[in-house]
Amino acid sequence: MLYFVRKALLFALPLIIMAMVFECVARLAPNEYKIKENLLKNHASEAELLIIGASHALYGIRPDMIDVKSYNLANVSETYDYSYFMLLHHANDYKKLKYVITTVGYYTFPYEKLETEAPFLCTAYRLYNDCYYHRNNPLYNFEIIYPEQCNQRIKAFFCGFESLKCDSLGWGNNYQLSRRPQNFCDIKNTMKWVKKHTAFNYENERYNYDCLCKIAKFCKDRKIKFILVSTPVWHTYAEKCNKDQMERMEHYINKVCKEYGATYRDYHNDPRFEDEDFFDVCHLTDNGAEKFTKILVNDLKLYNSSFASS
Amino acid sequence: MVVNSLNFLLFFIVVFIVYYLPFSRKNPRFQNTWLFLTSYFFYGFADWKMIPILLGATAVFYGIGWWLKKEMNQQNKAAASRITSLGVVIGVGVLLYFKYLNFFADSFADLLNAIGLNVSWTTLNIVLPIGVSFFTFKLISYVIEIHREHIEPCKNFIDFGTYIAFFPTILSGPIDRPNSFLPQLGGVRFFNYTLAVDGCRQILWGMFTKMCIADNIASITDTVWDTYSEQTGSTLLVVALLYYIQMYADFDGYSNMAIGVGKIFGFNITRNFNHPFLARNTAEYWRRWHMSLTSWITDYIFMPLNIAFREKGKLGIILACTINLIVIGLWHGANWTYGVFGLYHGLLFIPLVLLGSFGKNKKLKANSYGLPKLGDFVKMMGTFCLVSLGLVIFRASNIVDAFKYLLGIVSASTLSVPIISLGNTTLVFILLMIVVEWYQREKEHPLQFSGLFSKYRLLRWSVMYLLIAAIYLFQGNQSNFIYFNF
Repeated sequence: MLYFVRKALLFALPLIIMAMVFECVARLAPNEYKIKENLLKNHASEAELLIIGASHALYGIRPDMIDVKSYNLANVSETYDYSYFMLLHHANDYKKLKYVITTVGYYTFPYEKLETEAPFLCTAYRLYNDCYYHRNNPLYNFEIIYPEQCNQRIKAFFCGFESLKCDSLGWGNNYQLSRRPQNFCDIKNTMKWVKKHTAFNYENERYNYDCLCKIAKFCKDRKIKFILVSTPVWHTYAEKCNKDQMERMEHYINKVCKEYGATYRDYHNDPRFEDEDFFDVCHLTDNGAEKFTKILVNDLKLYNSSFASS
Repeated sequence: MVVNSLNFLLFFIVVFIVYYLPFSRKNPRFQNTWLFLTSYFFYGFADWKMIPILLGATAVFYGIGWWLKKEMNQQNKAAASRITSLGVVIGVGVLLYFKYLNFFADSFADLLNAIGLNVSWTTLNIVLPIGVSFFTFKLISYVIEIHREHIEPCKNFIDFGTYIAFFPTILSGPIDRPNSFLPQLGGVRFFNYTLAVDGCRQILWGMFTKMCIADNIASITDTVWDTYSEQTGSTLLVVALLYYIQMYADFDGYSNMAIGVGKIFGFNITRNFNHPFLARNTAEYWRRWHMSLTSWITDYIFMPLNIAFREKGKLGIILACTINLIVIGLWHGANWTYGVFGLYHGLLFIPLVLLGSFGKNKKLKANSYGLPKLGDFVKMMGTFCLVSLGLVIFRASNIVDAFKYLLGIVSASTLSVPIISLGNTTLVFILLMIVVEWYQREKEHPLQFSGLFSKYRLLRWSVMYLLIAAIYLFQGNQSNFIYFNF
């Protein structure tokens, strides 16, 4: 048996070496999480507005369109527990922070935990944002455990910054109108998204709500204006959303606003947004994000040295 | 805990190390006890609430085995037959209760409602124990083999429990017979380097077919099946063919992994597949597909039926085959589609029986180019298509869907270009699997190297490294093994 074990180790040796090489290359590749971490490291002290949340915030709100010094820290599929972490882990550096904006949508409260939905993203927070969640769990400390993600990282290593999907202020800039898929808003695609976002159960609601409350409390304690925003969605998507789930979302939003003095702006069914503003039924294109950000700035009066009104 | 998961790897390493401790050589019972405990842990990991059912059934049949032997020793043939029948009834009863009770009750209620007798039936919340179809068959064959005096009852309950609950095979087979497995539990299993290496290679091949082929095809077949009414005939046809490949890659993949793990622990487990793509007719297909199940059904259902119907000549054989295949179909689950699937294959046996070729087992020979002969190739293609169409019935959630799917294939759009996003790499892997299956048709699994590959380690290891790279880079979204559902 010792001979077998020796042979097995000899066989495994090149694989282990390759795995180590892949891991190193993957970690060296540029990625959005590193960019956001650098934004915070270098600019936390001067940031006046931070955008946190998931893809609706990432693609929908452009910091370059906002007068005050703004940075977009949102990431695809980010849940509130990770948004809270992103906000919190440079908390001591915030000297000028006045606003925190996050998006809240149809799927937000029932959303599965990131560890279930996309565990490879937990690894990204762990490795590139030094997230203390799962610090000692090997499943979240190595890129090679997730082959698809690792492949993408390795490709990014060779492509450099061209492969990145966000600009220098953290806004997700690859949802361009010219790259929008055909039939993005047909009933088949709409129903695919509605099905994806409609909950089978509400097991995770309480947890997500509690995480949102932590963010709200953080802002309240530091007298930071906390703004909740529902980004525009395609009208068919809005019509097909489950009414019960929508009502539950509104109930939680009202609770947060009441308890923590947060502001809520609802652009879910805003008629000002047209065909060309949507990349898919619930995400905005670059044009749509520009339009939306301008509307938001105007509505919240996010001008230099001003506070937003409720 | 699926075999191709990190959890299983950790479990396996622990079991392996303790199993081959030097201590075990001095204590023969130790290995079996360790396997018994770890098998129950493995089973309980899936669902601990099912452990009492497995343990209870094992204990009952252990007792029946000894009771049967006692009556046989006293030359009490009538009592022995009754006890055997009791064992069979209990085994089938367990299966019927957990798997089929709600199905038959609902079907009966539907029938009564259809003829105007309004009946309402509250479906019982019966949870199907994982692997019940597999371990009940092992239990039944144990009792029958004692009655046939092919084996003695197991002296040690731990040994018997290990046979029934053996963790590589408890969830999806192969269905080992007590005649072949129990003797292997007799003494200490010393580490066998050749067997272990062969087992590792078999596991690797199983992982490749499951993760690179079956899982990649699954995403396509599931999508098309969900929207089959909107698909073209050509798409439906291609997906039907792909589903056969997916089923084989998935189930053979699992079987290879299970057998490979068994080999590492020193066991020779019943082979489950013998390159079914190379079958030239449906009789040969069933001799090559899920062999542990078909041989079980053949020995315990077909043979007695064949004897009972022997005076009916060819009609008797046809009846026996059809009943046999309907039972095989229904074994898979509680749905009339499985029965119709079995009936379909039974009907395919008719021409073979009438022509007298159903029992023939002609060896496959290659032509001068090393490829299948043209006649054989045509037969293989025909059998492939027939099996694929049968699997449409198998896959459908009800008979209406099955027939709508089949009708969809036979439409004007059958001649159009199929709309399928099967990646080039998956297509290459499928072709690779088929080619390798042909050239390694005499081997138990394709990674039993011969020729230059057996001579040069670099070549062997290169093949294995390539497979590992393929598994890492091109694995599909992990889906459960199809046969876990049965």
